[in-house]
Amino acid sequence: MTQEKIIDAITDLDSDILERYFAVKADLAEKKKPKKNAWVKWASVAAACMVLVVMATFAMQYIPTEYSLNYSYVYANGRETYIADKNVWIYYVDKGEIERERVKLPCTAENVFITWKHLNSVGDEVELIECKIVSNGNESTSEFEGQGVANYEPGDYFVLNITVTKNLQFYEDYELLIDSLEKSMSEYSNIDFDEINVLFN
Amino acid sequence: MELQTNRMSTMSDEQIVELYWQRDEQAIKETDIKYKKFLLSVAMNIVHDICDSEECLNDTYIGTWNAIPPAKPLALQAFLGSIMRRTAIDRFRANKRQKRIASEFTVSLSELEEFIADDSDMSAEIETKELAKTISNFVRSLPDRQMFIFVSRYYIADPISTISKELGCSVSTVKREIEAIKIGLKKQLESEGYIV
Repeated sequence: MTQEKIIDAITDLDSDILERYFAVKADLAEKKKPKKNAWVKWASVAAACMVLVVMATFAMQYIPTEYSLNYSYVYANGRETYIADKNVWIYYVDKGEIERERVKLPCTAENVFITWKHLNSVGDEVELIECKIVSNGNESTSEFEGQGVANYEPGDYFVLNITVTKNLQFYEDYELLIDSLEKSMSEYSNIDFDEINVLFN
Repeated sequence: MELQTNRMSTMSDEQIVELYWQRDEQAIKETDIKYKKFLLSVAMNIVHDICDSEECLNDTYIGTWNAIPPAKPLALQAFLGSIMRRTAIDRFRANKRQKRIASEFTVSLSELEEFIADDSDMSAEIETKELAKTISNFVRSLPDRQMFIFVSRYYIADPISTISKELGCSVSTVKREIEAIKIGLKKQLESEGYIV
């Protein structure tokens, strides 16, 4: 057997063998590519979650408390409803001075009043009868294409009328109490009232 | 023939073969983009000279252009590799006549000569094709790893160090496996009367 025959015989290897050879070669090349270990992938996910938690914790600290609202189940305006919790200033009388305290509560007139009573040590004999906002807004009806249409023209003068039981007048520092009540009841609504009246019934 | 491009071919083998069938010269450009590196490595292993390798490459492109059609290879890389090997071996033989033979191919060839160099015991009528069939059957029966080593070493004529890198093992391991393959081939050839 000559060397030539060996060379030619190997050159004439069947093509299916060469196809298989190239497939194996491609597999080997694929296996040699660096792969990320599974633990690296999961560690990356865990690290990303940790970063999110830390960032969220920081972010919560810097969100103004005015906007960190919760919702509470309250009984307001004659029916059960969800009201947003809000941080409001409640004013109270301390040693002849009006002080204030930040309180987070479901923001209804009743809740503000109850909290005001608590901070001022006002007893349950004093009750809120009514808290009403009156404005010079004008409501009217007109006709449009044969149908009645309600119109409302917003007012520019707002009055807050707070009606409480008259026994509040028997408390010491009565006038300061009235002032603190006016401040507490007017500020939570964010309306710049032109007139605030405390009425006794 | 001057083909210079850095573009990565996105064509499949089927698309390139189709271009050959349409007699579109873009076929040669796409072949060059996709297989130039591989073909040059085959040529270099055999002729061990960059100028000769590039001439072989051009001859391979011409040979492929002339072969397709009528050929319609399913595995273009194997088809090109086969043409390149024949072309490079022709160049190797020409160089051998001029005593210019220092290549990996001569080294790999000498490994096989250890047990099939004696021509006197062999029948002159043995056809190369029959021998090729015997060797093909033997290689086909090998597991993937050994088949890969055989083809790398004796068809592509890769250095043992290159094979060991591709397999991710030591040179000595590949050498041991080559010895085992050779023993198996020798038994096969003996059983079929090629070696007495």
